[in-house]
Amino acid sequence: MDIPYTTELRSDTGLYNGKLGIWLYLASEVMLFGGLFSAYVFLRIGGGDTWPSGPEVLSVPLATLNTVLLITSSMTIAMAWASLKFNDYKKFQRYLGFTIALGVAFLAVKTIEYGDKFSHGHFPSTNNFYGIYFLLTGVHFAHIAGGLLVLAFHFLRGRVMWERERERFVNRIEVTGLYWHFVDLVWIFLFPTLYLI
Amino acid sequence: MGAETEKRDAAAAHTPRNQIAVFVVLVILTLATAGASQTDLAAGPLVAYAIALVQGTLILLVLMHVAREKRSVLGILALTAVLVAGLVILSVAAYYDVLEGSKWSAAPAAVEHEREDLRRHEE
Repeated sequence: MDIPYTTELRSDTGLYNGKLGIWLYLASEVMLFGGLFSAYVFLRIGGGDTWPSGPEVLSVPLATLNTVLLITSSMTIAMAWASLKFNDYKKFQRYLGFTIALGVAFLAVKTIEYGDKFSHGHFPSTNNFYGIYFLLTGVHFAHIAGGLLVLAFHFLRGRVMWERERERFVNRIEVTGLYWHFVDLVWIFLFPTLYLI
Repeated sequence: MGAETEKRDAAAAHTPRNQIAVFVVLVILTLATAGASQTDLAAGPLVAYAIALVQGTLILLVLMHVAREKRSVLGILALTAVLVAGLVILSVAAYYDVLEGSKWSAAPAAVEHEREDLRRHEE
């Protein structure tokens, strides 16, 4: 059975199904993170003077490094998609490999941060600050991990669809890239919210 | 514009030069954000968020190519913006919507004082 509109554009929306789907999904993710950010705002207002300043309890250099890692990975996934558009599968694999490596590096740095917190006796249950810190970064961590699974699948099994249904595969990489840029976007706002103010 | 031409134009927008330019700007802005927070400026947090907004806009318009997207996508984004605004407005409204005289009220002491006055008046 052929699934319609995997490559041809729908006449009503002007998009193929995957792109419409990913944008609707990202809209729901905006509501998820919007709710979590709102929770942070009200916890911080309620905490008053007892709320710790981000730079005092968290590592700004590590978070800055993480931000640069994610920004770089956004660039590499965009280049991977562009490589496919120009029919260069080898280049696509190289850029996708870089993206995966950068994502793994981000998670490694985050794990080091968490380990440091735990070793100093700071857990989500310690206080509201650590509760919302672990929740916000933990949900983001899960999103990165899930994205890496998808990227790894494309890296390992991509050639099969590339040989069989080239345009459909390119579209898959495009929607995966959109998701990846979104998690980068979330971190761009998480960084100042938790670490800098 | 034909579909093929549009696709090649979209790919051309992701040339190494464009990508590197966007990447360099984003990294510089990241370092600027971290730097702004280290200053003693009262407006440090505002500056940090303003820079984050610029970065977010750059990622949205260039990397997610919203600038070149169809109206359907812009419609989804506009609806999302309205819903997020609703989320924020309702949350703030709920925060300030408290019963007068309750322990969550801003001025329970003033309300208690008024009640005391009324009681004395009735007596």
